[in-house]
Amino acid sequence: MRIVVIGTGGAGVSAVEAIREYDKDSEIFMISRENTPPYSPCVLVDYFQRKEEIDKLFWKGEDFYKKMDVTPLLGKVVNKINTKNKKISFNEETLDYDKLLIAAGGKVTLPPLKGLNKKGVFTFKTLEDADKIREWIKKGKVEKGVVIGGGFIGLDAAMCLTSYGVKVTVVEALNRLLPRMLDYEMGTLVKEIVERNGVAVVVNGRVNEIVGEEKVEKVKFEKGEVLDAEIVVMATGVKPNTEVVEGTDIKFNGRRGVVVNEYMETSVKDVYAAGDIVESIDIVTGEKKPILLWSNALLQGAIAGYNLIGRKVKYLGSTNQTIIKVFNVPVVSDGNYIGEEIKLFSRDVYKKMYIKNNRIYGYMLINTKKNAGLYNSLMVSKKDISEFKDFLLTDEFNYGKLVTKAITLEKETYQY
Amino acid sequence: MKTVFIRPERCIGCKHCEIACAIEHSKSKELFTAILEEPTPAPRIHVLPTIGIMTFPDKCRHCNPAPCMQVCPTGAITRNKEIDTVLINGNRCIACGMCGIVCPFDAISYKRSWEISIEREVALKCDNCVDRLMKGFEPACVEACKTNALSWGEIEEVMREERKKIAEKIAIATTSAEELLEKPVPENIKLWRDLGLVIKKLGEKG
Ligand SMILES: Cc1cc2nc3c(=O)[nH]c(=O)nc-3n(C[C@H](O)[C@H](O)[C@H](O)COP(=O)(O)OP(=O)(O)OC[C@H]3O[C@@H](n4cnc5c(N)ncnc54)[C@H](O)[C@@H]3O)c2cc1C
Ligand code: SF4
Ligand code: SF4
Repeated sequence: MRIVVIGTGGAGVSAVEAIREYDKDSEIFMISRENTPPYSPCVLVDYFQRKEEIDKLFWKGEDFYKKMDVTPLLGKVVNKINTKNKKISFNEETLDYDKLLIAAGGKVTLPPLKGLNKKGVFTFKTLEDADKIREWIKKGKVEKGVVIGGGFIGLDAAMCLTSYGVKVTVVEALNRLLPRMLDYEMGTLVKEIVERNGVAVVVNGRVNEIVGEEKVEKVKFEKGEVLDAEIVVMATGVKPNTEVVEGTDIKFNGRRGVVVNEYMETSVKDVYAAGDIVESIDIVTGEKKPILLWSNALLQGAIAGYNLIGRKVKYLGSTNQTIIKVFNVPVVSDGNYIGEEIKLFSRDVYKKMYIKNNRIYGYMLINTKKNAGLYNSLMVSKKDISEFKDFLLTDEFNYGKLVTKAITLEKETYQY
Repeated sequence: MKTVFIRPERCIGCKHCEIACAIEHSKSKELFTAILEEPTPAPRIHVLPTIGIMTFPDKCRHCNPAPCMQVCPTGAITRNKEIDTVLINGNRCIACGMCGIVCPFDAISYKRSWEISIEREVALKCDNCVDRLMKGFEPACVEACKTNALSWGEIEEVMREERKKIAEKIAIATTSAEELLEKPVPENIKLWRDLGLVIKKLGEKG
C-alpha cells in the first residue's frame, strides 16, 4: 500500500508515527512546501531568541524521515488532487496514492491593507518567517516595530522582537489582548503585563495602510494616527488552508475547514485530513469549529493514522486548551464563556471560571497553571462539581480531594 | 511490570516520601549536603491535604497513553518501555508548560535542577527512580513510606486487561470509557480512570 501525507507539521508527523507503530511495510511519502525536518511552531519563539536551540525545534530529530522509513519530498507545493484517479500533482510531477492524508495546516489571514508588499513586512508562521525576521533585524537598523494582531502569535512575535532590542507596539482591533483566549477583564490584565515589559499596546486599533518608499517606514491608522516602524509583523490570524482541496470533490466548509467524519476521513473515500486544516469538534459543547492548536493537530493526526491502516479509532472532539508565556508569566485558557462566572484574584494571580448546571464550561488562569489539567478533565468528563464549587479556584483544591471523596464510598487498591 | 501503588487511606501525611524523593534527585543524594545545594532539591511527589484530616500522596502515574508525552512540542518526553516509565529530558525542555496543563494529576512542577546545563526552570516529575531501579532497589518514596501507603509491586493482571481493552478502542476516553467496560468498576477506580483517560492517543501495542 502507498500512503501519501501532505504536510510535515504536527498532524502529519503524528500520523506517520501512528502508522509505523503497526505497519512497517507500507510505502510512505511525505510532501511539504518547506524544506526542513519536521519542526514545531510552538518552539519558534525559543529558537528565535536562541538560535542554538534549533535541535529542540526539530522535535522528532533531524533524521525523522529516515527513522520512520519515509520518502520525503520537500520544497514541493501540491497544487492538484485528483480523487478519481487517486493522484496528486506538485511542481509538474504526479504521484499515485492508495491512501491520502491532507495535513496542510493553516494559513495566515491578511486583511486588505495597502502596502503589504513593502520590504520589512512579515508574517510569523513558519521557520522561514522566523529566519527572515531575524535577518532583517540583524542587517538593518531596526529600532521600532509594529505587530498587527494581539493574539498569541502576535504576542509571540512581540516578545521575539523585544528580545532583539526592538521597541514594539502591538495593535489589536478588538478591545483586549488574546481575544480568542480571554475575556475583557483578563485580556486587560495581560495588557498590563505586556506594557510592564516595555511593549506598547493599542486596542480597538485599526491599521489601514503600511507606508514607505520601498521599505516600511510608517503604519497609518484608520483614524489618521501614524506610528514609525522599520518592521511590521502581520499576526492577523490563521485559518484552515483549504486551498489545497479547492476544485476537488473533497468537502470543506469555508473558513471552518475540511469536513471530516469521526474517523478523520473526508467526504472522499481513502482521503483523510487532520490538524489545522480541518473543522474540529468542541468536545464540551459539540460545536463544530476550527481548533488551530498543537495538541489538537497531534491528536487528530494520530487518529487519522490509525484509521488509515484500518484500526478504527474515533475522534470525539477536543478543547481549545492553550498556554502562552507572556514574558514568562503563564496564561492558560480553556473552554467557553458559558454560564455563571466565578473568580479569585490575588495580588498577582488571577483565576476565573465559567460554571453552568454544576459543570465547568471554561476557565482562565494568569500567572499560575495549577490544576489546569484537573479543571480540563472535570470539564471534559462533565463531572458535577457542586461539592467543590466553594473552593474550586483556591489553592486548597487538588486532585487528592477527588480521590479521598471516592474512598469514603469504597475501599480499594489503586494503581496507575 | 512493577509499579508504585498508592493506598491513600493509609497515608498519615508525614511527608517522609517527599524528603526521600528530594534527596534521591539531589546532586549529592545525602540529606545533610542536599539541603545546602543550589538549586534546592525538589520532591516530585507531593503530599496533598484533602478532605478532613486525610492526605494524599500525589505523583505521576506514568499514564499509557500519556497526555504529557503526546503534547510536548520539543520531544522531551519519552517512555522507557523496559520499566514502563514516562521520562522528561530536561535538557530538551523549554518550560512551555504544555505538559503541565494536560496532566490531570498536576504531577509536573517547573523548577531549576542541577541536571540541566542551562540555568532555567524545566519540567520535573517522578521518574520512578530509574537510577535506583537499575540497581535493583525500590523507588525512594516507597522505601521511605512507613505505613505502606506507597508500595511497589506487580500490576494486577485484571487491571492490565481492563486497561488494554480501553486503550484499544478509544481516543479520548473520559465519558465513553465507562460504556466500553463490561462490568461495573468501583466508583473510586472509575473516577481515577476517567480522569487519567482524558487521553489523546491510542495506547499499548495491540
Ligand atoms: C508562532 C506560532 C506559535 C504557536 N504556538 C502554539 C502554542 O504555544 N500552542 C499551541 O497549541 N499551538 C501553537 N501554535 C499553533 C500550532 O503550531 C498549530 O496548530 C500546529 O502546528 C498545526 O499543525 P498542522 O500539522 O495541522 O499544520 P502545520 O504545522 O502548519 O503544517 C502544515 C504542513 O503542510 C505543508 N503544506 C501546506 N500546504 C502545502 C501544499 N500545498 N503543498 C505541500 N505542502 C504543504 C507545510 O509546509 C507544513 O509542512 C503556534 C503557531 C505558530 C505559527
Ligand atoms: S500526564 Fe501526568 S500522570 Fe500522566 S504520565 Fe504525564 S505527568 Fe505522569
Ligand atoms: S514544559 Fe518541557 S517537557 Fe513540558 S511540554 Fe514543554 S518542552 Fe516538553
